[in-house]
Amino acid sequence: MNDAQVANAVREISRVVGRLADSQDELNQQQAVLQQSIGRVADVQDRTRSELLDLRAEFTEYRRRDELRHNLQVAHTEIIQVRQELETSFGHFAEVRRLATGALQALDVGIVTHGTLRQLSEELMLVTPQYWLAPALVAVAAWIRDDPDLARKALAETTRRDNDKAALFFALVLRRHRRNEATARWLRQYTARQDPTGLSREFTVILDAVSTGAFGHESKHLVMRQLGEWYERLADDRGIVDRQVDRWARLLDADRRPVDPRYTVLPAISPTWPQLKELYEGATVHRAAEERFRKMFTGELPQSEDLRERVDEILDGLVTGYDVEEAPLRRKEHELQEIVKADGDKGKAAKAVQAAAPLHEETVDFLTLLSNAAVGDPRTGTSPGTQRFAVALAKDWIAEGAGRLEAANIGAQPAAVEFALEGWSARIDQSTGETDLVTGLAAHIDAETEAAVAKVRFTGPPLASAIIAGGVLLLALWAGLLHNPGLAVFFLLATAGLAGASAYQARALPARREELRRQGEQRRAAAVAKLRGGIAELVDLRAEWERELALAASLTAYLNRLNSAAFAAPAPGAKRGA
Amino acid sequence: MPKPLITRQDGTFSRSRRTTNSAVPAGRGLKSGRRSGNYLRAVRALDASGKLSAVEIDEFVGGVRREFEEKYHTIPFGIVAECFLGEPFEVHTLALDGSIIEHYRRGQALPPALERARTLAVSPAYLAVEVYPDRLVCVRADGSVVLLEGDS
Repeated sequence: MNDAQVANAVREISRVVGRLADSQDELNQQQAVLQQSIGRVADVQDRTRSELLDLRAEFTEYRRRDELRHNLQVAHTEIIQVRQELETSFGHFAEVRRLATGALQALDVGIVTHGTLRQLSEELMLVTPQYWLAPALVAVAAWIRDDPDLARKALAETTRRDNDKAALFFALVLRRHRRNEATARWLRQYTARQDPTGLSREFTVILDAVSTGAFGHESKHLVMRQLGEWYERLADDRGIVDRQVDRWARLLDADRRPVDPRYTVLPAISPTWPQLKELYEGATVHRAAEERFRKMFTGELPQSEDLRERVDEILDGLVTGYDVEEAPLRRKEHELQEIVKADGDKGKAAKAVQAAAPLHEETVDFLTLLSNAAVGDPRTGTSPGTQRFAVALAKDWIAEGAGRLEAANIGAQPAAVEFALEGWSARIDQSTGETDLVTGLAAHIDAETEAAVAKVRFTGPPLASAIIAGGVLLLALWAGLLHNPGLAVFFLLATAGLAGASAYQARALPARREELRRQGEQRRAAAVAKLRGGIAELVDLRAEWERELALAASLTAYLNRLNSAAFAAPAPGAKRGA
Repeated sequence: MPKPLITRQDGTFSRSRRTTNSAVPAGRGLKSGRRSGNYLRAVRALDASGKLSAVEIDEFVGGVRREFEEKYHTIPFGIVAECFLGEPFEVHTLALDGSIIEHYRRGQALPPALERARTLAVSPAYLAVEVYPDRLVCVRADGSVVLLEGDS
């Protein structure tokens, strides 16, 4: 190879190296653009992911709502069916029931002839077989027109069909006409027959009569003594009392308030959130219970001064509320009503039905009956007066139930609250300080950022260029040793070109590191803000929880002040407290 | 390991376990029984056990034990109460048969049987928590009790 050829080759190489450097420039620019695009794509990806999560949450919520709506619709339809069935199967009872108080009131004013009453009561006797009230009305009609034979026969049939209800019915009818001694006799034999561990539900009528003062002095005294005896006897049975306490605990627990929706950060960053939510909601029952009882005990009771009106109300209750034939359908109706009340939430409804289960039992012990009356039976519409009386008698169990809920709630506190965000997690207990947490999280993110920065090193294309440059330099030396100056120059130039390219690429590294650090700082600031928000919410939630829980003492104090004797109303015209 | 402040005998919690396995049905009348003024005074006094003589401690613990034996026919594993000795102490426990009072620091584990009473004991709602094999009984400052059926 002559010199001219070498010079040509060198020129050619220089040109190639020049073009290479140009391409390198272009490549670098493209790389920078690519870097920016990647950053933008990452941003978009983040946004998309968060939108997707929102969408999923919305979809889940939508599905839940849809299910609730469906449940609600079905419950509405079924309620109508059940009521129609009640109407078809037991509608004719209604006529007899209306006649019961209707006849008594008509006779009060004396505008119905005995003949009409007799005819109607006997007709009803024919169309309602096996119903205890029909012969009772025949007996009343016969009694009024002074037909002792028929009255006696009808009475015998009534007591055969339902001895207890007959006794209560006649006791009330007699009380209506102020035959107090006769009333007391009916009541005495009624109560003597009762087993306090297995009372039928119509015993509530007795509570009604005591609390509204519908009984005369003698009967009231008799009944109160009997109630007191039973109460003492059964209160010694821890099994029965425990059932009441459990029941009240369940009932009070069903009335929870949801946690304030302003808590948004804590649910997002704390895996312990479900427990915290449960804890807070469990503590809200005391406020709800106190409000419920205060409301129950506030205001005057609408109570008629006329004895007959008071007795008629109770009679209405007796003849409508407690017929066992209707019980299965009534129970179904109650279940559906609970679903409607819970806006389609079957779980919540099932809980309420479960809590109200003793209301549907045919016979209950006296204490359960008291609880039933205190809860308020949705079907018989327990009168507010009876409810007050029963709550005052049941207050110890209510307070004990609330006490158990409180203790269980305190005992359920998680030992530590976990926080997890940005791949960092920590357990927070009483000894943890906010500063330590913030420092820990910041250090974690800084470490990650530094690790990412450290990855941006002198590797890849720049390193390859540098190594090749080194190799080519060796080749140049080798060519020099072979006394081939042309080749040596060529290799030297190639070395220079490659080294230049390598240096050029390496120049972009600090910028990329800077970009990563900037992103890391943004991430740290956002995460620290989130953490601080979470801690603030945790502190707020704890304060609210403590406030709610402190109300347990106030509920107990309120219940302890209730006095059952004060809620047994005196008879109309009698002195209060008589 | 917490240092027993007063050790009269070499009694341990396993001893009191045996006591509760007596033939008398545990917890008869326990649930509704309001704790007596003596009991409450004793539990409060134990907090200052560091300042009490061994004789005084024996007197208090003896009183409490008698109350349990006579009124409720059962003796708890132990009684856990919040400790007011100040940081770092959190709770103290009392084993009735051995009269051992131990003070525990925050974060220091209680004997396994008593640990579940810890959160209740530190709550301001209760003066002390009695631990039985099958239940916890939380005693309020006024002597009224709340019974929690335990699962262990």
